[in-house]
Amino acid sequence: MDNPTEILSFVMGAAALMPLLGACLWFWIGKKFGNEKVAEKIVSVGAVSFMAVSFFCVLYTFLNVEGSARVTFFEWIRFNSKSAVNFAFLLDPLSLTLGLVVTGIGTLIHLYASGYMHGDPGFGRFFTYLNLFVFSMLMLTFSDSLVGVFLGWEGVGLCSYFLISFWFSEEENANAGKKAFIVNRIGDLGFLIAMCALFKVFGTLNIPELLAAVQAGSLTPDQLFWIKIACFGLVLGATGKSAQIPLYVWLPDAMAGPTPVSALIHAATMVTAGVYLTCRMQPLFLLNLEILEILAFIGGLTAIFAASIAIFQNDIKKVLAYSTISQLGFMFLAVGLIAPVAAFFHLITHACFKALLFLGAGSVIHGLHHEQDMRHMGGIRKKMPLTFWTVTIGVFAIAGIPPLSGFVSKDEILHFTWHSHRWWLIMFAFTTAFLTSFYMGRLWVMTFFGKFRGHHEAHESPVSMTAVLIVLAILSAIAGALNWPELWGGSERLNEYLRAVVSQAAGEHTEEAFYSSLKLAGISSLVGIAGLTLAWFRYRNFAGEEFKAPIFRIFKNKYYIDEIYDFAVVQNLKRIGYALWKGVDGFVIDGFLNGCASVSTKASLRFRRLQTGMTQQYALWVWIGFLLLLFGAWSLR
Amino acid sequence: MLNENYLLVLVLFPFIATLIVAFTRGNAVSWVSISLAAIYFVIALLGFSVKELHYTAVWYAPLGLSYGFYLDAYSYFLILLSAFLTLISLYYSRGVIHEKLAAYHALFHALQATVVACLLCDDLVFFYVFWEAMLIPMYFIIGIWGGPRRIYATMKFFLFTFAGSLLMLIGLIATYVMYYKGTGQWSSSFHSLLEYYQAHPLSVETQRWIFLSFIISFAIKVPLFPFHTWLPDAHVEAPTAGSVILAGVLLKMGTYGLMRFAVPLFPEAAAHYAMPLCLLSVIGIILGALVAWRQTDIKKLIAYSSVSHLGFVTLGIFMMTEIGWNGAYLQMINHGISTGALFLLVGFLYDQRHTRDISAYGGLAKILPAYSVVLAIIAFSSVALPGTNGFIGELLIVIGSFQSKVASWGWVVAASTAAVLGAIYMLHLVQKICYGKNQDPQNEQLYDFRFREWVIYIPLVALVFIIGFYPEWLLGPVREKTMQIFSTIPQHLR
Repeated sequence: MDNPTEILSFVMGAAALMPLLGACLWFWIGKKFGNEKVAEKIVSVGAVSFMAVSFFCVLYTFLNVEGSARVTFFEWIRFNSKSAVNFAFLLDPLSLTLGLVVTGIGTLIHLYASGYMHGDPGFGRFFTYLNLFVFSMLMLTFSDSLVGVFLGWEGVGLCSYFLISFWFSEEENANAGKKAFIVNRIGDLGFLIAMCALFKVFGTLNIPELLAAVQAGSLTPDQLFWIKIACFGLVLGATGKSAQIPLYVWLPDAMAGPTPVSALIHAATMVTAGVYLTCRMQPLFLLNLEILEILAFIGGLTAIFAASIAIFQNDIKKVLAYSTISQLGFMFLAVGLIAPVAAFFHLITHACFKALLFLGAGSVIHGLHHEQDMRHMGGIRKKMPLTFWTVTIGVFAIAGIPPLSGFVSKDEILHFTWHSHRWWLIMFAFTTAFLTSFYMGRLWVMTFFGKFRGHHEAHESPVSMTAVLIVLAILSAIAGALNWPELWGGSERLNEYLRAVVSQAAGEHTEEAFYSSLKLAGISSLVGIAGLTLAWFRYRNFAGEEFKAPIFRIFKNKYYIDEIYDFAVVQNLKRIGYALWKGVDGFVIDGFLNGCASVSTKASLRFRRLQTGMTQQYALWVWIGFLLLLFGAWSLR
Repeated sequence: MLNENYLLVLVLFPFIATLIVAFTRGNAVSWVSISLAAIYFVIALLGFSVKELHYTAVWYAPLGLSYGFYLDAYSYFLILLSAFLTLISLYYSRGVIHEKLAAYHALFHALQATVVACLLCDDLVFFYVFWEAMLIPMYFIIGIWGGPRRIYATMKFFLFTFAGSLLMLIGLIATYVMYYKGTGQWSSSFHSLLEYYQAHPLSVETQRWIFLSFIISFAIKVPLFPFHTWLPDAHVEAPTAGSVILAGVLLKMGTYGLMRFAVPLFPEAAAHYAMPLCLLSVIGIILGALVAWRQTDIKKLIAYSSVSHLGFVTLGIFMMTEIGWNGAYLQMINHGISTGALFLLVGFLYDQRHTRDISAYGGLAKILPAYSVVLAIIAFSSVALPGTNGFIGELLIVIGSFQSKVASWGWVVAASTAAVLGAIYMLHLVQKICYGKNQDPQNEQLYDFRFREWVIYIPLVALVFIIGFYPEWLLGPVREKTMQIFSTIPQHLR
C-alpha cells in the first residue's frame, strides 16, 4: 500500500466499516449474553473504541488530503453502458468537516451512552442501532453520488426510527418512531424526484460530474427547468430531514427516544443533513436564486416559529427539540442567503453546544430518576455541580454571550441577514435570537435555581457522563476560534478551508465594516443578555404558575399543527383508503363481477325450463329450428 | 459449456419429479419431494453462465408446430426464482400440511413444471397450453388445502384468469394466421414470428386488436387495476406455500408475457395504449397502498401491497424506457423474494395462533425477537429502503420512467408517493405485530425461530442484501437482454 489513494481508501473504508462491523457484533453479543455485566462491558468498551478508530481514520484523512480526493470501492448500480453509481467516497473540505463532527461528537456520545444506558435490557440493541446510525451518517457524508447519499439519508432515518421507538412497549414511542419515518419519507420523495430530474438532464448522479456539468454553463431553458425541479425536490428533502416547516412535526415527538439519541441524531448530526445537502449542491441553487430566497424564508420562519413554541414547553427535552428546530432554521437562513460557510460554522458550534445541552439534560433526567418536567425540578445546582456548570456554558453559548462559540457563529448569520436588507428576515433573526436566550434562560433557571420542586433526591451522574459534558463544554466555549472573524483579529480558518468547495460573498476589510460589525455584535450580545436577564427575573422564584391568558394556549399547543395535519391529511387518507376498498374494489368491481355471475345464473335458470323431458316438445323445437334454417338459407340465396 | 440438452433437463425434470412424488407413499413423501426440488434448484443454478440457448425439434411440420425452447436472461432468473421459492415453500410445508401429502407435493412440482415450460417455450401453441395448465395445480392447491371461503376464491381466481386466457387465444391465433397470410408458411415459433413482424409490421389497426387481447390476459394475471380483485381473495384462502408461489411466481408470468411477447411483437400498439396502461398502473399503485393500510387481515394487507408493487412493474414496462424495463424486471424478482418472505412470516404466526387478524398480536418483539428482526428487514425491503433489493428496482423504474416520452413526469411523482404510502402500511404492520403491548396471553406461548425457520429465512434475507448492495450479477445479463429487445423497437416509440 504505497499508493496514497490505496491508503486513503483503506483508511476511509475502515472509518465506515468499523461502525457497521460494530453494529453486527453488538447485536450478536447482546442476543447471546443478554444484559449480563460482562456483555455490557464488552459492548460499551467495544462501541466507544470502534467509534474512536473511525474518528481517527477520518482525522487522518482530513490531515492528509490536499484539496479533494475520490476513492472508489466498487460499482453499485449500473444504469446503462455510459452511467453507473459506485460505492465511492468524495473527500473534500465539506465532507471531511462534517465527517469529523459526526465521528468526533459521535465518539463522545457513545461514551456518554455507555453510562446512561447502564442496566437497560436492550443495551446491545441500543449500540447496534447507534453504530448503524454512524455508518449511515458516514455514507451520507462521504458518498460521491446522490444515490449513495440517499442510502445514508434513508439509513439514518431508519436508525432514527428504531431508536425513537427503542422502548417499544409504549405505544406512544412506537407511534413517534413511525411518525418520524413517514414524515421523513415525504421529504425523501423530494430527494428521489430530484435524482430523477438530474439524471434526465445530465445522465449521471455522481456529484462531482453533476456539479461540473452545471458549472460548465451553457444550459438550455429545458435543462434549467429540470434543475429547478431538482432544487425544489432537494429543498423538500432538506425540510424533512432537518425538521423545517412544513415537515418539522416529527422532531418534537422524536424525543421519546433515549437522551443520547436525541443528542447525537436529533441535534448534532442527522438533522443537519439537510444543511449539508443544500451546501453540497450549492451550484444548482445558485442557478435558482428564487429558491434560495424561499429557503431563507423557510429558515427564518421556522426559527421564530419554533422558538415561540419552545418558550411554553415544560418538558426539558421538548424545549431543546424546538430549540434545535429553531437553530436549524438559522442555518437554512444562512444557506438561503448564500452564506454556506456561516451555516456550516453554526452547524459545527451547534453540534457542540446542543449535544452538550441534551447530554446535560440527560444527566439531569438521570439524576432525577427519569423526571423530565421542569416544573418538578429546580435548585439542583448544588447537587449536580458538574452538570450545572457545563450546562451553563451551553446555555450561554446558545444564547450568544461573547466570546462563546454560539455567539461567533450566530453573529455571522445575523451579519449576513443584516446585509441582505430584507426586513422580515432581519426581524425574524433578531427576534429569534432574543427568544432563544429567553427560553434557554428559562430552562436554566427552572432547572438549577429556585426551590427544589421534585420528588426524588438528585444525585450527580457517573464519570463517563460528566467527563463527556466537560469535553463538550470546552468545545462549546472555544469552537468559535475556528472561524473568528478577521476583522476582530481572527484567521477565519473554516472560511478559507470551505471556500474551496462552496461560494460565499467575501467580507470587506474596511474600517467602516469593522465598526458596523462591532455594532451588530454589540446588538446581538445585548439581545442575548436581555433574554437571559428577563428569564432570570421571571423564573427565579418559579412556583408553578405559568402564562394563563388564552392567547398563550395557541403557543402551548404548538399552534395546533399536529391536530391540523391529522385532521386534514391523515384522517382523509384513511377515509379514502376505506372508500377505495369498499367502494371501488367491493362495490364497483366485485359488484360488477357478481352481477355478471348472478345474471348468468338467472339466465341459466330460465333456459333450464326448456329441458322439460317431453319428447313432443323437443320435436316441436326441432321443427321450429328446421323452419328457421330453411328461412335463413332462403334469405341468403 | 452447457448445450441444448440442458434445456430439456430444465423442462422435463419437474414433470418427472411430479410423477415420482405422486407415486411415493408414506413418510418419504416430504423428503423425496424436497430433495427433488433441491436438485432442481441446483440444476437451475448451473445455467447461470449461460447467455442464450435455443432448442427446436419439429412436432408437426405442416402447421409449423415445434418443440421450441429458448433460454435467456429474462426466462432464466424467473426460473431460478421459481425453483428457489418452490424449494423453500415445500421445505416450509413439512410439518404444516398433513392431509393428502403426496398430492400436495406433486401439485407443487406440477406447478413448477408448467411455469418453467411456459417460461421456456418458444412455440406459441405450447405457450398457450402451459399458460392454461398453470391454473390447474393452483386451483387444486387453493381448493383442497385452502381456507373456509376457498370455493368462492378458486372460482373467482379461475374464472378471472381463464376469461383472460381465452381472449389471448384469439390473439395468438390471429398472430399465427397473419404470419401465414404474409409468408404463405405456417409457423408458431415465437422467433420466426418476431423476426417477420419486425420486418413487416402489421397495420396499426390490426396490431391494436391483437395487442388488446394479449394485454387483458396478462393484465389479469399481473394483476393490473381494475382486474385485481381476485388476488386478495385467492391469497387469503390459499395455504401459505400457495400464496408464496402465487405471489412470487405466477403473477410474474403476466409481466413476463408483456416483456417477452406483447410489447416486442406489437410495439406500435403498445405505444398506442401505453398511456392508459400507465394510468391504470399508477391507480393500482396508489389504490393498492391505501387499501392495504386499511386491512385487518394480514394476508390481505400483503396481497394489496402486491397490487401496489406490481403496479410499479407495469409502470416501468409501459413507460417504455430501457432503464425502466431493467428496473421492472428486477422488481419482479424482488417482489418474489420480499412478498414470498412476508407470506411465510405470516404463515409462521398463523400456524401457531390460527388467526391472521392484525389486532390479535402486539409486542412480539419481546416474545419473538428473531422473528421481529427478520420481519423488519423484509418489511423495509418491501418499502424499498436503500441497501435492500427493493430500492434498486424502484429507483431504476422511477428514474427510467421519469425520462419517458409516454406520459408526463407528474405521473411518476404520483407513483412515487407509494414510497410514503408503502412506509405507512408496512410500519403499521410492523408496529401492530412487534411493538406496543401484547394483546393476548396466548401469544406468550409462541415459539421463536428454530432451525427450520433459519434454513428458510437466512437465504431470503441474504438475497435482500446481496441484491441491495451488489445487483450487477442479476442486472448485468438483464440489461443486455433489454438492450437487445429495445434495439428492435422503432426509435420513435421508445
